[in-house]
Amino acid sequence: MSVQMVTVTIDGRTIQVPKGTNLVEAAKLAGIEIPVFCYHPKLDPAGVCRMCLVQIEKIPKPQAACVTNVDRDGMVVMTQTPAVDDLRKGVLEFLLLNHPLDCPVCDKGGECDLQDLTIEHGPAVSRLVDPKIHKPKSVELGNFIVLDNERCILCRRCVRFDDEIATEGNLIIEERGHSNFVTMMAGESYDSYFSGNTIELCPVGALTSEQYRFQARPWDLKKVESVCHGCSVGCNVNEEFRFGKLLRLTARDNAAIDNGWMCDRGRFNYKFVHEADRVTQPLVKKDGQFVPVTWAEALATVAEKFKAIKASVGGKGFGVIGGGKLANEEAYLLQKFARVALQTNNVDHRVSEQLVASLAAFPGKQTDISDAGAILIVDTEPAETAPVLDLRIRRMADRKKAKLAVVGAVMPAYRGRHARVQVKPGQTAGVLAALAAVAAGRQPAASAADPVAVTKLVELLKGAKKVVILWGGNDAATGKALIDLASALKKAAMQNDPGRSVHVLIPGAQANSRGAEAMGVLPNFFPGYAPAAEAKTRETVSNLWGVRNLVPEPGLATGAMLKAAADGEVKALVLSGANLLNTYPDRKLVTEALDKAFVVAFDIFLNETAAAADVVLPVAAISEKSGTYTTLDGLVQAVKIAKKPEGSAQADGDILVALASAMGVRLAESPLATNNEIGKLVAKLDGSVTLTGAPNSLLPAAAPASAVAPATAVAGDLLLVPVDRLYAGGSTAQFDVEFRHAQPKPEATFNPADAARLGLKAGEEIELAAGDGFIRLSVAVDKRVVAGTVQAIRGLSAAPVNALMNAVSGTAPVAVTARKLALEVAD
Amino acid sequence: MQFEPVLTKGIGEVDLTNIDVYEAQGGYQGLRKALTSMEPLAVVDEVKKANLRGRGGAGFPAGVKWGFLPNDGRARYLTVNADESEPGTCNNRTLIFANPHQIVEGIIIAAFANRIAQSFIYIRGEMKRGAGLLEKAVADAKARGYVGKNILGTGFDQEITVHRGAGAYICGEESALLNSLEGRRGEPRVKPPFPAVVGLYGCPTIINNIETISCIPHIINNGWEWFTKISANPENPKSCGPKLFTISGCVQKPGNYELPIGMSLREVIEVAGGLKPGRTFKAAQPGGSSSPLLGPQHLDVRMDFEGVAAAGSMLGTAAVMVYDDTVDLVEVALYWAKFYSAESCGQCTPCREGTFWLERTFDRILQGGGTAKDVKIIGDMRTQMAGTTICVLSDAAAFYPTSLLKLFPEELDRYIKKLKEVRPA
Repeated sequence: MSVQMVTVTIDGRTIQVPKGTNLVEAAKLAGIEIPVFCYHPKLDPAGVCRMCLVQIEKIPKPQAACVTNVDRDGMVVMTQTPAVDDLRKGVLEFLLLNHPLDCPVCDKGGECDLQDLTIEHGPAVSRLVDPKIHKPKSVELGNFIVLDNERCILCRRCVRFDDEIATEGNLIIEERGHSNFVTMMAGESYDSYFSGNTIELCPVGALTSEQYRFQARPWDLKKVESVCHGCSVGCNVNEEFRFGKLLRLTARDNAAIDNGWMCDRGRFNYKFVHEADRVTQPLVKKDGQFVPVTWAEALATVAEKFKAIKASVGGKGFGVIGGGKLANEEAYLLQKFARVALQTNNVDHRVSEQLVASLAAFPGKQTDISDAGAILIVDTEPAETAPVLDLRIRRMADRKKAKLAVVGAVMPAYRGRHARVQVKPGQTAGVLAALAAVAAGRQPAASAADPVAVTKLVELLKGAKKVVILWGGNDAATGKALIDLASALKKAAMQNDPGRSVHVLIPGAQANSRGAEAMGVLPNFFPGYAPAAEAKTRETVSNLWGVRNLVPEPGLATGAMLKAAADGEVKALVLSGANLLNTYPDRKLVTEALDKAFVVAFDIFLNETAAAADVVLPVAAISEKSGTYTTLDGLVQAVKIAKKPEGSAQADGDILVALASAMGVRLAESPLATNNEIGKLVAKLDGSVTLTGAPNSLLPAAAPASAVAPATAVAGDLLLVPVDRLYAGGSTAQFDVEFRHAQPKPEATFNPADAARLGLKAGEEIELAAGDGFIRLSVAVDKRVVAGTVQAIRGLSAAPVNALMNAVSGTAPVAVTARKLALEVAD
Repeated sequence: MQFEPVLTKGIGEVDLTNIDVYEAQGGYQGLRKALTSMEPLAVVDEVKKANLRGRGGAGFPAGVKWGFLPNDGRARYLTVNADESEPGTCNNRTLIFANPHQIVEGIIIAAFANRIAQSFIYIRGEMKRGAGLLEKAVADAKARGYVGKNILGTGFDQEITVHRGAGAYICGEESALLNSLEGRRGEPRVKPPFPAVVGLYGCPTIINNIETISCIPHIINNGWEWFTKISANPENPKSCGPKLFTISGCVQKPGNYELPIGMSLREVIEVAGGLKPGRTFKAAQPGGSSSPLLGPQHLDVRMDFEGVAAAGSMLGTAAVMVYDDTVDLVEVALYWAKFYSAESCGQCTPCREGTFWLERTFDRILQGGGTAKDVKIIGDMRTQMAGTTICVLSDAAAFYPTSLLKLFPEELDRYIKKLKEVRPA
């Protein structure tokens, strides 16, 4: 489709622009800057600040350039006449009338549009003789945002962002005329996951960061380009330092990934890097107490223990878990360490229910969402696990550009009408199988979904040329059914069906889950998804690594390793950034395994798992090491060192090399050599590469998906649905004193019908129990919770939901009982 | 020419809110004629030829406005603007309270002409009783089969919804009205696109004033030629028809008067009983608070759209406010400045800041703190506030002060130079 070009003359320069281009953008193309406040290229033009007034031939009144489109040939525009200068001066005079001019103490000073444009176009002195109007100067708008009403010029960029991009529409302008102010509807707190973006959008210093307020001047900050390691989206950021201290994170626009936005977890959860609670020295447990030791002593202790185990039981005495938080190169070294130094294939990056972080058969990009015709969301809440990616889905839903369908036990909310199939846990696979059958023109088996709904949903998906499927990656049976559905949608199964492109995106359980997967941190795959069981793979790798006798038999996956450790077969566990007590869906098993085995934990905090270890090795945090990271859609992005590690913390890769060396094994010649190895086995990680995803065979063979989940075991029991919350999981949130106040409280959310039946009221304290595990939470009620289920937040140390789960049943539904807590009466 | 009241015929004599009385006076005959004997386009044509100019203030020809609706299969809406809030204006109010069926009939004809199935009357929130009367009129008309499905067996359907505003002057601006009707903040929209193309709920929408709509049954009944002949100034064929004038201020009999368009300002003042004995005429605002001042030199200006415009003001809502020699025009300026400052929606910078700046400036001047610099600031508002914003509220706020400077500089000078004023008690 070609774009029609039209001719426009701006200040005597005649250029061709695509029809419909607004005059601000057209002027940019002509090399002319039209000053703006309310206009922002990523927001719909509002035309309210009137700074961009220009003169247009044949139109008597001045026109706002941002809302005037070039839609005909021959428009003649003047932006530099005395009249336009006068108007600009006038608008600036109006804006500055009651502006406090507290630039010397304003965070924005130095990067403020009002300051810059006043210097360029403004009047030199104010003609106001009356006293300035005073307004509230530090209003806490939300968790992280402080509003200065006096500085606000009411350009509404923040309000428009909240409405158009976050599509939440809670931020509003209240009152009229000069009494206008930005606030929240009904006086709530502005706790959107995306609130931080308004700080950067604000053209003045009205919206400020609670954390960065009064900390520095922009010209004193050292900017380092980096990538957010908070989740698998991989937003591009600037880390800004002063005197070596990380003071703020700002967005760095990458159209392929973040589109210039960040989430609040990424933006505000950074102070942990300087936290006093960080582990800054190696710790070795002696008589049940951690004792700080030197690196030499710590490595000698571990190496000695490992050598002894290797001598007695060989490689099967080891288990290596984690790697999803490491850089690609470090993840590569982790699996190489397991396979070469420990002589085992017992290595697995998976620390939660997630089984796969990608599917090679249906590769997709985040940008695919933005031109999809239909989006299917299965068993995941993208807003909680990949928030900035969710902005793309929200946009498509809000602008009605794509049809949206949600299947699962969790129902993420979007604006506008969309198809929903609410099921109980364990029923998703059946529903997807039914969808796949109908899509392929077969008779579907009975499922939890209404047959009419299944037919309509397939029609919805088939109505699109491009389908994007988002999936949590959690259940093997669901995965198999999802692959069937995607295949059926992709190929022209029936007559007159042209087929369509299908893309599957899986938000990783950890920031670099997909990278760890590709780097072979898997018990049955070597780097590049080479099957461990094949002799050819081992031969290639042996030759490259210069080692002999790689273990032929596939290793154990995380669950099996833990089981073996609990049974005493695995003697030592290496945990890399893996807080299993918090994340693995069987807390009891993890406890037993940690009790039995010799545990070496690589971590930055002494979280519950690290506290149960025998040796804790302090590792470098974000911006303290270099490496590449893989986004959930396979893009590889490089991160450079920006600060020194705290204390004597070291990069994971360096520790692995040193530990191997202490065991007498040479793990890597040099970083360059490691990169070359990765280049040969996987791909050259140079920033332009997109890694291929996992083969379907990574999904373990599942028990045949029963169409309908087993009925609840005991009458009155509810099926547990663990849910993700952006601020819940991870030690970085828990140990960040300036962030943790925003963490959600442990809550069990019931369907109103269930709450009524059980006599539970919102706010009441209850206990959820399954088997001998139980957690205490308070009751919440939400009609979006499927009847017969109860939702509890994952990853909260105060109420670890994995205490209710057990790996024996795998990811099968867990029945839980809710019981009110007896009132404790004080004497 | 002898003028017979058209829109206000029977008001004060009979109870026109009663549908029987209205019909006895010839009501709903225009509806019958249009729906049963005319094609929709013929109705549009009739209104076009009648040169019915919008009575809400801008004076845009209604028939031409109707012709802008695109034919693209989208739903269309008719919205009747009854948010009469212009200070000094209460002519719509009379038509709503005393002759609601005339409005209902006009709506149905206009909707028929433009093939619209749903109409809205957006009525000023304070006119609670008027809303009730309109609702009753719609219900009564529905009972007679004039509203609802298959009107008069012609297959034409029409529903009319009465919606009360929440008390904002700006919601009388047509696009702010649409926002308010949609449940959004009442703020004018950027134009283009105009409501005829993208209006209510994003669909083509006609917005007509109550008085404009009230004229339509009579045009259909009596033909366009009859309508064009109603004028007190036959030399100007561009303005015609009956017009309600709200005459207030320093006259003996203030009130609503239905007059042929085109009488001179002097005649209009005479209609309202003239000035009080012993007073001399100082100034008048011919079309509500938003119209620039006229002075004694303008007494022979013809009160039609062109005549008033040529004198540097505008006919607006034809709310003539008369000031005699006892009035301090600077006090009036503060009064209007306060009004516009309170009613600005606040989205555009010049209006939000400028209206309040004017209010504070006039307040200070009246308290004796004015300087020559203030006169310059007020004068600058002509270029800084007028014509620089999304809607014309900003222009309206600047009109009075700038026309005051132009026509009556001595009024401000008196304060600034602190001269003692000699004024009749």
